[in-house]
Amino acid sequence: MNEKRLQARTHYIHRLKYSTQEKIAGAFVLVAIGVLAWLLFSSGKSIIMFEDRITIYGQLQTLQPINKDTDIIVGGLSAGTIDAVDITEENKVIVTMRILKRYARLLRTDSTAVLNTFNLAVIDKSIIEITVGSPDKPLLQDGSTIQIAESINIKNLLNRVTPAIDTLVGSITRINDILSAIDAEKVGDTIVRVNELTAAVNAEQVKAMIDNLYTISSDMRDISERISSGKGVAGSMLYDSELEANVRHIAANMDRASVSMDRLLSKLNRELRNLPQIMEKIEPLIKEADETIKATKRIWPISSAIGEEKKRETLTPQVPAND
Amino acid sequence: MTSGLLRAIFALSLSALLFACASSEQRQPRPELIEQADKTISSGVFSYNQADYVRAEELFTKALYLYRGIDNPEGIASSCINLARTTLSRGDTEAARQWIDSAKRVIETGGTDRLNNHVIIVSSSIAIETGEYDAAKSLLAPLLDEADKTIDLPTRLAALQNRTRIAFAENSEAAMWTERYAKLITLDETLHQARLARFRAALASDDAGSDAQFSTALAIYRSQAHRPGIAATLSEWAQRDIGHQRYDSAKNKLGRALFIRAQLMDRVNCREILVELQRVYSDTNSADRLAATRNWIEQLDAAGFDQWQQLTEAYSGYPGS
Repeated sequence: MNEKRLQARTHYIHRLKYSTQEKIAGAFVLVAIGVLAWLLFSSGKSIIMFEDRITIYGQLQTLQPINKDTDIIVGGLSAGTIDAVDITEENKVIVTMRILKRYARLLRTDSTAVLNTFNLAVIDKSIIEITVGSPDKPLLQDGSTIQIAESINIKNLLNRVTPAIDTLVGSITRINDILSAIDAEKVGDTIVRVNELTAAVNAEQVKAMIDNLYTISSDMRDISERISSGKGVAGSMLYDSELEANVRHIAANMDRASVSMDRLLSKLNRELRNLPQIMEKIEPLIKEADETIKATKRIWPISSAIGEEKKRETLTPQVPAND
Repeated sequence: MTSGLLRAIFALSLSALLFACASSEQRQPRPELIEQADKTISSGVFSYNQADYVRAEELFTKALYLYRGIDNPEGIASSCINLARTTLSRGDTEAARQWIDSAKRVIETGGTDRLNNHVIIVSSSIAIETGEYDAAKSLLAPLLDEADKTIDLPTRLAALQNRTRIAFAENSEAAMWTERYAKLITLDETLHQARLARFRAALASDDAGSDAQFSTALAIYRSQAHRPGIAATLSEWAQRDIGHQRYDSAKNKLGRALFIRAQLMDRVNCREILVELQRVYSDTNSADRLAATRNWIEQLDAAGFDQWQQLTEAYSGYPGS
């Protein structure tokens, strides 16, 4: 009787004994957690997370799409992360970059930084690329500031091309103006006079014909003067140096755009080539995560919050079809 | 955040994880092939419930193939029953009959008796569609036995629904069967409540009573986004409008029903709606529309009809253009 009462007073946890099956299950759980921890600590991101870093400030002249997901590349190596993005009162952007200490020696006073932004379809990515400095130059110190240049992206390019297109549209408008400036009545008169000339060529009318020719030549002079003064597209093409400069500017921009597109595509290709390897690495991690999530669901108090998994329906409802 | 602090957080999290209370895996893992087949058939049921019969048929066919690969009689029979229901929902009674016969053969040899009631309900539905009312009645008789407590509620309700349909089709004891059906419906059976409202609308002698019942049915089907139910209610309501020479209202409802049926690629019901529209155009002397509708019916009867978009555009008078 006393023993029973004693048992009742003892917390049930002290009376529990682990069976061999439970011990084995426990061992497996521990091994799984161990593997998970190992994967966590051995994966690239985790290792980087624990590394020491230096702070370098980057300054941008204009607002750009930068956030904490923006990668920092030093000589092609992923070298750090963005810690903060602040905007000064002059609307300049100060980017706080946390660079891994082991790459800090690559950053010298002659290192330059460029912000590359890619806006292609669903890809919207920004990268800050810092060049490797010359070994003979002094190191960039913790807390120093570097100017970040903005590379040409498609949006910028379009912004530059738009004025040139506007100029072209302006030119077309001007040719319209010049065409409308030609007096239709005058042209009609000229034709009538030419008709008269050809219909009745005789001595008496020679004088009148000369008069007519004089009028035609006067009209021609008028048109020629308009062209010489740069009016209309024909005039602009011959005499408007601004239009010529614009066309050259467009060509140069297009050339630059194609070069940066080439660079972008080769970068994308490089990334895509790595994709299968990345997928290979990710797959076991996903499996592991799936198992972990399932295990987590069985951990109190999470298990009590998640309801029972709904039974899969293998039969369509009994309700008569097509009614 | 310093790396030292991060290390400490990780160490603490891991300790918490180790000391947490966890229960062991409760269910034995099932073989991958069975899981795959079950997932496929379950996705098919989901598509069927969304009235996506094309996708449902694809998935049930795939599930049947997977179950045959592991010689699983219950899975094979379930796939056949589901395929019968899906083809019947598209109005293809011939295909439905073939699938239900296949299911019967599997059940007879495989000993999966629990599926028998499903076979009876589907077989009776096919018989109703083909006008074989006596055959349908004899099929349903055992499921209508109130003394048999082994029959579950969904099966009883489905049997009564079909029996009431027969009563309306034969114009015999429709009110009695409707009330028997009504007695069995609980508050949770929303789709049956809507079907009951449609039966009651058909029974109503006055317009106001009928309109109220149709409105109730429509409201329930809309709340459940049950497309076949909405289309059926609109068609039945339109038939009543035609009977009372409310042609504009009938055209409006038939147009809406046609839009839904065309979305479901339901040739049989689209054809029935067009036949009703023919009646409307004939009664209102709309010769052009009558000829056009006749032309659409001929196109629907032809093999390989796929101009669903054009069909809906031809009758897109709602919500107004």
